[in-house]
Amino acid sequence: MHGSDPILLSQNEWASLGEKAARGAGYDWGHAEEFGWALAELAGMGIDGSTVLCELLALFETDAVTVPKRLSDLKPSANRAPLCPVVTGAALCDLGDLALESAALELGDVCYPIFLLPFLDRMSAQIGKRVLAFERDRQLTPQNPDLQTGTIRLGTTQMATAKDRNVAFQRIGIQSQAFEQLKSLGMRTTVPATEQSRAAGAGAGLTDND
Amino acid sequence: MHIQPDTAITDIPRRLPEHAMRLERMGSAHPTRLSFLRIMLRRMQQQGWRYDRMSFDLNTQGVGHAVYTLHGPQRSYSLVAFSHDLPDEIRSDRVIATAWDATFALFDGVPSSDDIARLSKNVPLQEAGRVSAQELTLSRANRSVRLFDHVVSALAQGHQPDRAELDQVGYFMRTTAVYGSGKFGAQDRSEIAARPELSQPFQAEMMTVWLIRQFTIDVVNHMARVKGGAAAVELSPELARGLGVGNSTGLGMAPFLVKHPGLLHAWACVREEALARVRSLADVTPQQYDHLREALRDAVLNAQHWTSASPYMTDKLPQLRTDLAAVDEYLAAWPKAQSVLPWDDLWNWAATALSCEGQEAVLSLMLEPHGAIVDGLSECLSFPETFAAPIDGRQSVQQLCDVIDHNYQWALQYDFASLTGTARFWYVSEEKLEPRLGSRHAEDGSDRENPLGIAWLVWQLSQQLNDTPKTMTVAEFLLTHPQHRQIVRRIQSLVNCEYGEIRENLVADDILPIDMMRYKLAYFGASRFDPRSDKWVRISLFAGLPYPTDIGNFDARL
Repeated sequence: MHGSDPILLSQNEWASLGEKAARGAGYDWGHAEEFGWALAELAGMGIDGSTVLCELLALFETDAVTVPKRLSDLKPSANRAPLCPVVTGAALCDLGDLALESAALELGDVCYPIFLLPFLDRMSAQIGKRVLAFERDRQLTPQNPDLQTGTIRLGTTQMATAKDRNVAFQRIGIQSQAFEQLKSLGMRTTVPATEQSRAAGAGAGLTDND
Repeated sequence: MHIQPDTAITDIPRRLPEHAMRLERMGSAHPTRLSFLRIMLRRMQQQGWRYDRMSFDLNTQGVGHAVYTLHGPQRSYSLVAFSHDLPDEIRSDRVIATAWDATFALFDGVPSSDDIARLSKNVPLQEAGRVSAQELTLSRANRSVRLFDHVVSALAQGHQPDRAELDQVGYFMRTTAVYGSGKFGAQDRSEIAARPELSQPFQAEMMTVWLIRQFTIDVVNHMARVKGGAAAVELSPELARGLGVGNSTGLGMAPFLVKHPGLLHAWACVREEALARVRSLADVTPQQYDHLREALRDAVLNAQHWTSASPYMTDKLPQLRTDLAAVDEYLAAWPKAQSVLPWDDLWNWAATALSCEGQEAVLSLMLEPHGAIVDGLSECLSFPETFAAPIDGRQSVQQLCDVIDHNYQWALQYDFASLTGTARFWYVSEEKLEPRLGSRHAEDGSDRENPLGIAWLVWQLSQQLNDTPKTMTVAEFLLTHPQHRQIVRRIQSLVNCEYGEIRENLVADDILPIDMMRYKLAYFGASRFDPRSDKWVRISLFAGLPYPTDIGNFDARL
């Protein structure tokens, strides 16, 4: 890179960055994939989620987020840290219309709820209704991405849900400090070399100049 | 994408996945007319693509840049090549090298001088630089120093080089990586997959390598002129035709097949459908017979020139040569006058008389005369992959168990309680950022394992499901057991993809990643598969095929 040009990541790079960072922080691979997907989807909405993701993963590492382990954990509860938006969002998508059997669903406190947005879009496409998230009376949208923790309620509208997936992915810059932090978390998915692994590595000990 | 058998043309069923997707067979795969490089060449021929060498600006040291453009009906694609002066002592084919004889990007369109200036600051750095959404691939190559010097010196003195020397190496340059699909800033696959000329797999990568092949010939001729002046001659087209582009590739290619099971299904399904269609034919026309014979002659020649010092190939190559001689003999009395399904006769004979290596070679030969019923299948080679595809959490645990019962019985038969059953683990090395295969019980790092041992993961899931109420929803099961989320996603997404899994225990002590690499490279169209160890291989691409300068005059049998 040269000068201070913003680093524009491809969709693939966003997804891979988010996946490896979440796995490096300790999420299981299946959820790490959802992190990668959600980070890339946010980028597609024009949102650089890298800084928020760094903060979220830091909270996860100090047990300051609740990773739901049962369906009942998706209900409001006073005695716990706010819900992880990615695991919650993924569970809501898994449940599809079962999640919305009542007209509205109270989730209680969710941290960095902006990360719910990609999942609500996916859920909307699955169930054929627009699924919206509200913090009190305010609707969560890509235009107000800065909420850190909020008491979230879901609702649906009958609006047309079709989202045009043929729109080209518009690249946006990534905040460089968060980029470095996420890459460094991702390195925790790799294994340091040993003398033994170096000797066994692909192509080891063979000359290339022939 | 599920390909429905076309019952109007197939009476014979496809080979079953438990047969076709075993590693011994996959590791015997040969290129076919459905290989990606031949699909690309056929399209260019049919659509009347044009080739243009826009610039070739190399100095007397061979340093500079060149631009080669292919013009299709709607869009153009340009190889931007940078040629460097690389001292011998730092030349390395390892993917982790930091300097190369030449570096390349495939530009989407025709580059301006500003584009070339931008690329000149980044492409030579490869992984350490950045390309943009205007680039589709990033690549680099090293010279085969011995052959390069021999040929330049012969041409400079006004005569053609020794053919045996050319045959022995087979290429002037070998690439050590061709990156695409959004890597290092390049354009995402999803953004270009709808273009007809790029919808099939690896078409941008194939264009890159094909243009690199032209570049290697041009560099050799240029250096011969520099050295020999007016006395120099150009390499003859006949000799050039036999040369390909080498490729040196390590373990990185093996995990691809496991990480893209939908694509693996599409590729295998297409091949099996093609074989089933040919086996179902009732006649052998004289033209088809001649074409088959000609393909066999080429295969025999290829097997003669195919050398390898690797123990992996030294058993296989003599067997292949013996098998091809047996095919030659069999064809002398084929087809039998009363035969109802002559192509099926040929296949059934091969399946009992030949080794796996020979059988897969016959598969490739049998497709050759049948472009009319086979080539259209190339439209089914892609697969719409979704990153973190949705999970149907409303499914019950019982329903999930039924799917496993139906599709993954093969995965539950291994002895995962034994040390040998889980002897290996796949990981990414911190030092090289490259996939590696470690020894679980002898090395550290298995806590950072990459989840590629599919059979083992299914077995672990299955154990957990045994202790779970069958009426529970998958959504609830996965909240409590998130460690199984990835494998459940995979099982659900592959319900209609029976060829999506390699039917082996990929963490067993005797796993040979080289078999996975050969399979993938055969789909590319690679020949002269030459393993340099059990984890690293050299191959050649485009050898014997036309050059960009030949567009419009391709062999009709391409």
